[in-house]
Amino acid sequence: MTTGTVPQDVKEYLSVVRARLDDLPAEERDDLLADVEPSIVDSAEDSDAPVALRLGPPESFADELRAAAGLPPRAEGAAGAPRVGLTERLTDAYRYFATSPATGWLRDLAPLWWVLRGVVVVGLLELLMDQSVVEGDDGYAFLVALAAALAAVVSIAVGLRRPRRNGAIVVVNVMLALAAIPVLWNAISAGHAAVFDNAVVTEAPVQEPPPGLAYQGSPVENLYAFDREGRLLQDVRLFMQDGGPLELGGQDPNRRPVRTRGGRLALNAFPIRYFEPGTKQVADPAAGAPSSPGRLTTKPLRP
Amino acid sequence: MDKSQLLRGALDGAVLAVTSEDDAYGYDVLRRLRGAGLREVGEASVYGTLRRLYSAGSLTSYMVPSEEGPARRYYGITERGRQQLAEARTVWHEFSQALGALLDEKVESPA
Repeated sequence: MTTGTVPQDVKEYLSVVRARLDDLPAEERDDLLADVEPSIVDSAEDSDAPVALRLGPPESFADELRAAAGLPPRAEGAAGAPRVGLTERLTDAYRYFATSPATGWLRDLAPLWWVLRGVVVVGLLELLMDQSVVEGDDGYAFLVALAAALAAVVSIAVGLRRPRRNGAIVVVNVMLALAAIPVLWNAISAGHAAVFDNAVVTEAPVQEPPPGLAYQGSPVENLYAFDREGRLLQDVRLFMQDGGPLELGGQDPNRRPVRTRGGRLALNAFPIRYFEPGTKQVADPAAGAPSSPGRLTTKPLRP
Repeated sequence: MDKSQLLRGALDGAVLAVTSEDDAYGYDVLRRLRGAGLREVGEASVYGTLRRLYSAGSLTSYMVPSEEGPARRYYGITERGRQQLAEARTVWHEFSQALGALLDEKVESPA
């Protein structure tokens, strides 16, 4: 078979068609193309229009040829197919997305993606700076919203300019689509936090420590003081570093009241003692205290 | 539905009809289909259909060397192809009669 008179553009067109059919058995593909080649050459002679304009993209031509011949659709990544780089695959996918009638409705949604793309860029920056709108003030939130709106407008402008579809743009788009997941997640959880915060602010803004005295998180209900000799002291009055009385508990009708000379109730006198219900008697003045902590051997301090 | 979609289903019959008149190679078939008024028919569809009908035994083929280009594969109809063509004719006539009656009625009713 002579191919000497095949025009260059037809040759190139056919080589793309051939590559597109590379997952078919060699014999099958050669038979199919042996049929097509002379016909395309002849039809090219009958027309001045470039071959790709008359026949459409070579990939579509190959797919239509295959479908009409009753052959299975192209198996991507089939054995024997040449290895294709990621960018090329993405570009292929993009080309399919950009030209196939099946994805027409998706293309109609492109402006929506442009807006989302712009917002995602700002959201991603915010995420990387580890700052959430919730933490900042209203002014900061406004700035972020403004930046997002600006980015959306710029993104739409870029989309409308319809730049040449190349691998890099496809990669950037795919990366932004992936970045949309954490950004949206962050936005959603931040939204929840904002709602939660607003709901709580009116009631209890900060977690208050429990009332009373606590030792390592557990409430202290009573205190027992012993002197050097290991004797339990009664009515020891305790004060804090600022001179304030260390008062514990409240006025309980059964609590034995300890009063100062002026008649003031001393709620800082320990141990706190309780009367037997209905009487004015403390049944056991040593109740609840450790039996005997023992005497001290260190020499006493003299004031 | 546009004409090219209708055509897709009827292409087998159309290609068989063309080759039943005279043996033809791919571009010949295309020209004759287009000459008959089927301008929407795609080249890839025609060449693929020829190949499929040949694989199914409805067409036979032989190579004819060409002076100015690659050798051409001519297709001729087989007995099996003629049977298939006859079936396609019957189906098409029934279909077009039914659809014709239906569509004509629809067009007249609003007037």
